Amino acid sequence: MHSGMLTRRAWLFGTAGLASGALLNAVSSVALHIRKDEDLIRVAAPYLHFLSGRPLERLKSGAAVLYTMQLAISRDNFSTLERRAFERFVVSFDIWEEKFSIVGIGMQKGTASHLDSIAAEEWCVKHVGLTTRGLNAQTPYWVRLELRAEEPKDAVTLLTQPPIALTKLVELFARPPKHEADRWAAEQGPFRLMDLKL
Amino acid sequence: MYSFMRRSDWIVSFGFVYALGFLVGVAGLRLASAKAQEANNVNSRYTVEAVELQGIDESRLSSSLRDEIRRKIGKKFHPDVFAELAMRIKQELHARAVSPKLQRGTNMENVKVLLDVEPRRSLIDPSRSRIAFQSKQGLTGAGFIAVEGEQNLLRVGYANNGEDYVERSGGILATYQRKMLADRLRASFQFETFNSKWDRAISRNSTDGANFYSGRQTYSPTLIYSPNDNITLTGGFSVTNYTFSQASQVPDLGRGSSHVMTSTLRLRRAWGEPASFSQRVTGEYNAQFGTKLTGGDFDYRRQLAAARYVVGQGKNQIEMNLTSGRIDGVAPLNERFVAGNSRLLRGWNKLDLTPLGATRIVAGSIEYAFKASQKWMPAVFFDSGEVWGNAMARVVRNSAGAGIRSRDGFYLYVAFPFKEGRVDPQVMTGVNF
Repeated sequence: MHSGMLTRRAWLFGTAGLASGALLNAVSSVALHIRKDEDLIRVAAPYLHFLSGRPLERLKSGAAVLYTMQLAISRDNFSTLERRAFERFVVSFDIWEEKFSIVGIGMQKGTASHLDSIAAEEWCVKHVGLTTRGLNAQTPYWVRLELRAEEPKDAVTLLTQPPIALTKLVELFARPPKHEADRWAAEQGPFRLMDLKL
Repeated sequence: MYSFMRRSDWIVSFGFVYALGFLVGVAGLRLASAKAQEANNVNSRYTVEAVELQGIDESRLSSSLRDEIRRKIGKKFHPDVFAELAMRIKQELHARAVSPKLQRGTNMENVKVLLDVEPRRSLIDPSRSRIAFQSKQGLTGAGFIAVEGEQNLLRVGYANNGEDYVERSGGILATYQRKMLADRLRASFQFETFNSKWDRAISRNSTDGANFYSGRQTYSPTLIYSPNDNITLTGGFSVTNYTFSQASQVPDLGRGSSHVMTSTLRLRRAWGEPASFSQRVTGEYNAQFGTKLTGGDFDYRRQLAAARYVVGQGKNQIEMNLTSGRIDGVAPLNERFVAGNSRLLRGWNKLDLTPLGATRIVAGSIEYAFKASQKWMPAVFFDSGEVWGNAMARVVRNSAGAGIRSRDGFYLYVAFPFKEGRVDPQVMTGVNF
């Protein structure tokens, strides 16, 4: 009898449950809205709130935060990747106006300001796209959107790499972040290109 | 005429140049990153109305740093400027972290910057702890822990020092200090006990009757007076007892002791702002009088003066050091001057210059460093000087080198002594916590 005491098995289950819960909280599989924009696949992620947690604390302290975003497509539910696209954005938070400003520093060089958090997240997500060239319209695909808020130390190379230097970004997404809470992801699929609306 | 370098010398030199190039590249990237982040931060348009410290009292900062904080008021908020300031405060206070946080000012064009200081959690005393490696003399290390209250300080540590003394000494040190007069005056008592190891090159060269002790214990009561941040005056007395092993060349001595009156004057002053033009001067004069009046075995006078001048403009920094000293009478070996280490006449080996130490020293250096980023500074230097003693020829030694150092205490240098015959580089690396 182990009344009043936790057994080793109970500890293991409890710990594993807590760890899984924390992981799911950080990397949740929230549905993506997928659409076609001429020859690009674009997504919307209304339930993916990456202006939150530690990065939001840094933003509200007056710092600028670098976000790196990857949009990937797969034919086999991400056993292998068909193709992917990256974008980088520097986000800052106006202390007085309490609004977000964004500067695109990847392929997208656009800027936006006076945005609330929902609009700022939407602006970032809609500026990443995957070309449909070479993809079969009838093949089922899966798509995944992944974001990371970079530590100030890691932001160094990412801020200064030209857009075509993809190797750094590929390496970056291949390794886990220092803080799991600074990473967000959402997946959707399977879907067919021929079924997408413009 | 220089002969060809050995293969190992080529490998060391090539590896060093490659590493230096890599680090300069990384530093350049960091600089570009800071610029990019500043340009992309919407808060750069606001004017700084106030800068406040949180977690410590401002009086714990040096006057130059306090002046620098005041100069930030009334200027536009630049994230990288405050990141630099936070790093300097972190270094000066040996804090765990210093984070700048922005708050609203009294009107919509102004902001306040809060510098949140997180004290170091461990007891490790970084002001005394260091690790240094020199390819000819091996490792030198010192680690201390300190417990500091409002009125008392207790510091205990272990040191194994292969470069500052003639011998390699390893042992423990303990210091107790009592603070008085609002910390302007401190009564201090220090105890050291070291075992000594002698290089064979030294024991072979024993013609001047040197006493090769196997250990020494020192007791030093002192008073330390600081009328302001820029001046420190220390005065006291120390007793060092030497023990000699059976294998000693002077077994008849068995024991010996050195009774010394000592006084030190330290000055420091800083002007200007690091971001534009700044100057920093530190000077130290130490006088020791070994006496037989109280039962000591050594009668000598030792004087040492050292000055350091650092001038910085923008990203460029020049540092000049000058050290001069003389000993009259017969001093114990551990009080003799040593050069050819990671501080004086870098690149030379102390055992080649004066295996038994010197009674005269004049040495200087000039070093240029470039602030490639907030952290890294590639540097080149030229050292020159001479160490000599009784019946020793005076020879001016020169060396030059290059390397990289970081703002938080790391350094990596390769130094080349100007010798005839061949190039003999030495690698020096380490970290001052």
